[in-house]
Amino acid sequence: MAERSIGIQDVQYVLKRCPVTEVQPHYGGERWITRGRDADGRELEIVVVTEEDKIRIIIVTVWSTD
Amino acid sequence: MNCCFCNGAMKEEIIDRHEENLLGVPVVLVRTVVRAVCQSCGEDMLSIPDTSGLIANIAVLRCLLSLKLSSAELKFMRKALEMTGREFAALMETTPETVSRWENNSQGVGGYVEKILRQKVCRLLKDQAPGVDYAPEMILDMKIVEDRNRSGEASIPLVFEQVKFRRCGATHAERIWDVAPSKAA
Repeated sequence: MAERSIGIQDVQYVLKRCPVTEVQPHYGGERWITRGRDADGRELEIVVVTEEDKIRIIIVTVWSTD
Repeated sequence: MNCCFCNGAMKEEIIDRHEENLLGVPVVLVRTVVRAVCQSCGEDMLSIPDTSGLIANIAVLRCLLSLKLSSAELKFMRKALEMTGREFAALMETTPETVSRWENNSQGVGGYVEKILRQKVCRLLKDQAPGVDYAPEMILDMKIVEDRNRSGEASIPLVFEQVKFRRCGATHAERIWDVAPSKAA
């Protein structure tokens, strides 16, 4: 993320506010893709995997679509 | 936990000292970050707990250190408050253009304005940072020191660890971020 100048704060900002745009099957679970603008107005696309047994979101990748 | 790329089993270990750079603000996390390595494909993954709490702690602690805030740190403060440039400008009763100049290092923040900025950041985030002692006088009485060797970059790494903490009246302890003892740094 750092090499794309995207920080934890930017990812959290988008995850808290933006809708899940796509859900894909992923090894018996689901992989979610969310898309939205961060506090600087950049559009980010974030791929996350959720875990059922723990309150934890795994950020697989994130990139700016601008 | 399984690998999110190949679903292989992962081996986890707690890292003694993890250095992270949060968009120009260096931080060291002691005995908290977990690294998981996939035994099949070798992909590794870092797990940082309570990132919201960590960001709030960094912001409050940095506001209580007398070294002048760099442009990167000013941007960090705005993002810690989850504000756009326009929202932050409204908070500081200035224009978005001025905030942009602060963050791009083309115009410094005056000492008086910086003290107000620090107070506002601490007031808004202190409840999320119970590990950092804050009182308004700490900033009021502060003499902000300018480091002439610095450009726009933040320099001093802040060191944190997670500890168990029970709030007054609470029945259960929670894990919070706390400033790590200096020997850990």
